[in-house]
Amino acid sequence: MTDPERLLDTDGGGLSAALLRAGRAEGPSDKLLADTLVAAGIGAAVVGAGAAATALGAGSGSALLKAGSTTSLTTLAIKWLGIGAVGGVVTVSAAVGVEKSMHSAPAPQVTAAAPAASIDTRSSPPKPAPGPARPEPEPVASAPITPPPSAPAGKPTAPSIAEETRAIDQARRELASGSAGAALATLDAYDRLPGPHRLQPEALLVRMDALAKSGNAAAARVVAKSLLDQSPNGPHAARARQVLGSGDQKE
Amino acid sequence: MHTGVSPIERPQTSEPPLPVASSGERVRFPAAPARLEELVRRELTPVWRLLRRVGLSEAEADDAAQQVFIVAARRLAEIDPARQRAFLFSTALHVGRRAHRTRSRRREDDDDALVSRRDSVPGLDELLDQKRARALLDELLAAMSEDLRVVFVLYEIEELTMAEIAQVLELPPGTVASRLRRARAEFQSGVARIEKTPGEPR
Repeated sequence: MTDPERLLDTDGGGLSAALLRAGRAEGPSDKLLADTLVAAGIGAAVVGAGAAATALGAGSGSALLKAGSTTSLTTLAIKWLGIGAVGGVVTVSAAVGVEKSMHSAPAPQVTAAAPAASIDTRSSPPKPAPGPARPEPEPVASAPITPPPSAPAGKPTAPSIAEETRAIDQARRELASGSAGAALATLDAYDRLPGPHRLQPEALLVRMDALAKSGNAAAARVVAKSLLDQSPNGPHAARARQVLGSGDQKE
Repeated sequence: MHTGVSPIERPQTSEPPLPVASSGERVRFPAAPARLEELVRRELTPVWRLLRRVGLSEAEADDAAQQVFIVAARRLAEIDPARQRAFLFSTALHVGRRAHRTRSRRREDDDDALVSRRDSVPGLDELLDQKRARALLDELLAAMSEDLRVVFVLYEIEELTMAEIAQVLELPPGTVASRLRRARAEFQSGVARIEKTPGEPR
């Protein structure tokens, strides 16, 4: 198949070309790149004081790539983390986590007591990546995975319901105490637990609220849509619609 | 032609099917975060632009683009790197169609307003205003059927090859060529109409 010459090449100075050139020149806001990285599950280090926004402002994703830059926003975030140029850095990840068990059965109501092992969100290496500025910086919070004690090495096993419950409860507590970043980090740790997750819808619900509370309304809406897509009549549908509705009102 | 992506016409889902090996098992590809990050950085703008050209507002395109990459993130290990662009565009078209279907009301931001109530025909000088030009472009595109519009946008704006478009839409190459010819004719006809119209307010 031989491709014909494109109109822009054959009509360089005409109206057709002007219109097509305008179409090609359009691009999304810089913020969308950061939001999309977060929404796609790539961890986000949120740098306050607009530092990240400045970095993002350097160009669109494709522009950065075309420039051959390997100085990713992740690197920039690490830089800011290292030099402490800002008062607070929040490591958040808005990984939607829909890849895990979105087709699983509705989450059971679990009240099992948490076993000794817990998800530690304090000692793992941070997972910095770009993210939009947040109104209130929070302390660094990152989330390592504490594997289930009974898990044989090299053979991932699903976390127990109790472990899942504990993680989500922890995220809820952190969110309730005003630490959306810590809640997101805990949810990241939860998402990285091996095996299918039976409480994934609950995790998504908390993630949605944490994102909304941290100011990332766009990512929160994306999570809300995922919740609705997966279970339009589920127990979290009303809350998801509320988040989507509030987004509409803001627009 | 099996491409691993679904045709735009496939209803009910925004997730194209993925390659299956001859053994019947799902093919797995690298799913490293670095691959995903690169994918987002490289393809976000084209995906977003495609969503805009098929009629979504800026805010809608923002949300839809994020949905596209969430799908990609979830299925990254199943997407052939050689066809990931086709996967993204195909998914974007699905998501865009769904956004159209579910749109309860259309908020008219500045761009939309320009599209919907063009009150004068601009001269070439005015077209230096990119917003104005895009509004005209969208008006011409909106006059096309979706089949033609998608092929035209992918070829003339996103600069995909005809073969790539055939992959994205899962159409025979001849059909792509035919649609492109018709789309170009319609576009040029629309441009000619505009050029003949005096540039005074109507």
